[in-house]
Amino acid sequence: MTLSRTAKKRWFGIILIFPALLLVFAIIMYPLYIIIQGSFYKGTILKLSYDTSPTLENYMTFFAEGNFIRPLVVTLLFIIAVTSITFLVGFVTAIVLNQKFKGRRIARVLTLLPWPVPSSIASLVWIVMLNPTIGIINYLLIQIGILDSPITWLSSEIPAFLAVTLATSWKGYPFFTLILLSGMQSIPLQLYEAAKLDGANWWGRLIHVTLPSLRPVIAIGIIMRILWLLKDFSIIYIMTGGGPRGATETLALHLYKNAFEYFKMNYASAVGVVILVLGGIMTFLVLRMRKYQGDQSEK
Amino acid sequence: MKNKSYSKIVLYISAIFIIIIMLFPLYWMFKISLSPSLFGERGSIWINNFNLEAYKKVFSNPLLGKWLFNSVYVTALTLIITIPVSILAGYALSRLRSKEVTFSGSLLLLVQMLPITLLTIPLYVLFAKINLINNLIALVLANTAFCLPFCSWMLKAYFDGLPVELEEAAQVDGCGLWESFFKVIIPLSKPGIGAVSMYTMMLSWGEFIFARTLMTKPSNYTVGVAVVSFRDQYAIQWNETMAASLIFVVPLLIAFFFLEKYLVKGLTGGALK
Repeated sequence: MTLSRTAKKRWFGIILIFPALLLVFAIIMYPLYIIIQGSFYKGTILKLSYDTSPTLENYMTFFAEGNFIRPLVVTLLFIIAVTSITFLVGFVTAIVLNQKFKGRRIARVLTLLPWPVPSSIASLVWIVMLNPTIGIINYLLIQIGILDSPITWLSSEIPAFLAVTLATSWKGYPFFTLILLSGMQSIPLQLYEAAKLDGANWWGRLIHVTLPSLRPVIAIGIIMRILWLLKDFSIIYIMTGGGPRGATETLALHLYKNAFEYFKMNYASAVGVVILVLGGIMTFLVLRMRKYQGDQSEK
Repeated sequence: MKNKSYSKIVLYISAIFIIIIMLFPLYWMFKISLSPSLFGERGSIWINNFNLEAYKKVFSNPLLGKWLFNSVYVTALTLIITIPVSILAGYALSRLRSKEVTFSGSLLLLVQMLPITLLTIPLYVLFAKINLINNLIALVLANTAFCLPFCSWMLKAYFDGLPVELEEAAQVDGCGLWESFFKVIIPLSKPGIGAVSMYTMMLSWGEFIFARTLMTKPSNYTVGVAVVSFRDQYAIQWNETMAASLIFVVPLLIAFFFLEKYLVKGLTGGALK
């Protein structure tokens, strides 16, 4: 009764993956089923069983009554703004940290330091810095001459949007620094030397060697960032609570407020399903774009 | 030669410039925490006071120790569940690919893409059903849902970078599958394990959304929610809030300081070059 080597290996693999699979079903797949089921019913999700028939009413409330327009626009603008800023800052910092200089390791730790700061703590320090009367940001902007009078950052619509974008970007850029840096370090040096022989200057090497080699890393990074921003509303929740007048209320925050402040959990579940679909669409688009660019550069 | 030292100077200046700008908020936290007034004095960017009043007040808060303990507890338990489970899963995904394993791997990849905070609603409902609201175990499970898929895939990429010959040699020498895994692979995986541990700690220590939803009693708060409760008090004492923020963030920053190098290595996948 001895198992063959392949059969042994197969069972070994199943045993090793089983705990992860069990946890995924218990704390992700089953909850996911509840939220999808709940989105198609009226009434209370808390009982987990429904005696009415399924309905599209929650989705109707969201779409037909125009509830979706504002949070959707805010979400898209927020994702575009934060992803562009964090990518640019991450790229510049990664280029600097990829050079050889004394103290590079300590510079790297310090540059990445905003990353581990919990989002609630990051939000609070930005609230203090953005305070209209005593905040340092208004003070500096007035000193430099950019502003004439103080801005009430968190209670006017556009400034509030800029404020949450700024705070989220501050906490988020190290992610790009890190993945771009590790991407840059795995580019073979021969590529740079060949470009040098062809007479490419520093800028030319950046555009024709570094950027193309990083394309897969950039695509994965952007997808991860988009999915993260789609779900994480903690900084906005603490800084503005979605206000003023919904100017910073993203879809995820719309979901959370409806579920836990207005207790419309079934409606919120429908919003959740929409977010899920949106995440899928965005991932698909980024992957398509990458494929398209890849095809272009091969020609 | 001259050109080279010129570009070195540019490099240093830009590195220092970046670091000053990016660390300014942390500096500001420190400055305000030392201020005797609620907000700090207006119009000065330097530390003019060295007043420890705010720290005294924060340390005299009877719940401070409890909050720190809760965060340590939740982070430790999340690590204890997430890290071993994702090591096993990552190894299977890397070396023991069968139909079953590949299917589980795709599932893990798929759920990693899910916006996990959607699960606030169903997890709240489920935990309410089994009386886990206000129980820190609920947070441990939620954080695990957050971290496990990513950690498994990150470790898979790490194991992919280790040469297969290592285990094959061990197995020729008579080691079983378990033995070669524990004696050969685990000792070589310090950077990968360090990276996923840091990632898990970063997400668990100050986690806000689940803690806000699943913990309703102040004595069950973890630091991420506790620090916001300072702000939500009747009269906001910003110097105390900033002092508390610093106390809560420093343990994590120290851990980051030591584990950061693994994060860089671990993310590249396969550091055995």
